[in-house]
Amino acid sequence: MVEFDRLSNEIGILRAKLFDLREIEQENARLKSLIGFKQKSPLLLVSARVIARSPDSWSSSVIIDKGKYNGIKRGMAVINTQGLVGRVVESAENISKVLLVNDPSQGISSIVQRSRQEGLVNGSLGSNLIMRYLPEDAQIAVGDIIITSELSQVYPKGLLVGRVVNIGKEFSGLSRYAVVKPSADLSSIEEVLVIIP
Amino acid sequence: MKKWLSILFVLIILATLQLCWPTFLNFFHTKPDLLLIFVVSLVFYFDFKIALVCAILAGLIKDAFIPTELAINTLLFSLWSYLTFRLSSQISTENSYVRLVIILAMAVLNNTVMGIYILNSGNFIPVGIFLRSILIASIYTAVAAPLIFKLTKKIAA
Repeated sequence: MVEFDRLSNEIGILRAKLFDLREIEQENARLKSLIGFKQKSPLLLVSARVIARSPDSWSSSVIIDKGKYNGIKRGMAVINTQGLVGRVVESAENISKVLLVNDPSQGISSIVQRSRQEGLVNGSLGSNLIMRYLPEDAQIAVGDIIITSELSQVYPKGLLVGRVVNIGKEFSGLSRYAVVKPSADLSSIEEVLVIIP
Repeated sequence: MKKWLSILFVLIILATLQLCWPTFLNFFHTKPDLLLIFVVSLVFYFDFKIALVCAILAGLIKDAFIPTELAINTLLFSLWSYLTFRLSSQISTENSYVRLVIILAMAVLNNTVMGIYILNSGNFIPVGIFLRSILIASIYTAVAAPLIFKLTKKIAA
């Protein structure tokens, strides 16, 4: 009986260790891809870890573990290996607040990569973004890739925003809108890269 | 003094939990407002002055982590605390169902004001997401309330 208890205990400990190892393995893979991306990218990047998320349902933001001490300032663009994540709206000594692209106060001047059609990508608090102010005859189709335009004062040109998943007509009937699926999985971001201009 | 320390400790724990709320516990992309529940529950178990000071503190903590210019949560939490105090002097709030209804009402009011404030700032939110953030988030808050009530009752005892 004592031996059984000892073995059960050992199994429990080994299971916990295995779980930890799996977690470390996944983190290792993520960090490897982040480092690879950082080395290949022509941009000057600072990597940071997400330490907290927005406390309410009315905004979409995260807190990262790097701040002014690491050269991060308000207005800097934040990306990950998948694409655009958001921008820094506040920075303290060692932490910064990042407003994610799906926050409703976000407005990103973007273009359709294929046709160079311009539009404004807004967050909607949901899992998708909305590209607005598209003319009636806009050259846009489902599957098109959306990137940041050079008109954007905050984001460098050419950052991947997402892919068009639906196109509709505005209520006024004067313009169209496109539903854009963000390239970055915003609900599960753990590590990000801040672009130092 | 011991009560104050306990309240502050719980406030910090709840704020941390609110900030690091696990994604798998999200319900339709919403999470319960733990700080709001605590602020309202303090009115039921403590002196109003203590509840009001904690409401201001909780509001300040929440405002520090959301990207709004105005300290809207500080104002709203103080207001909800005062309204709950006035309401509890008018009706009996001993019944736990009454308390749940009060929490639900405060959560709906809080979310509606926040939603209108965001829309008024010129931001666009689709109707479905707007209603989800008001109704489902408020119901989730009310569902999570009994746990915080128990915690507050323990501190008050």
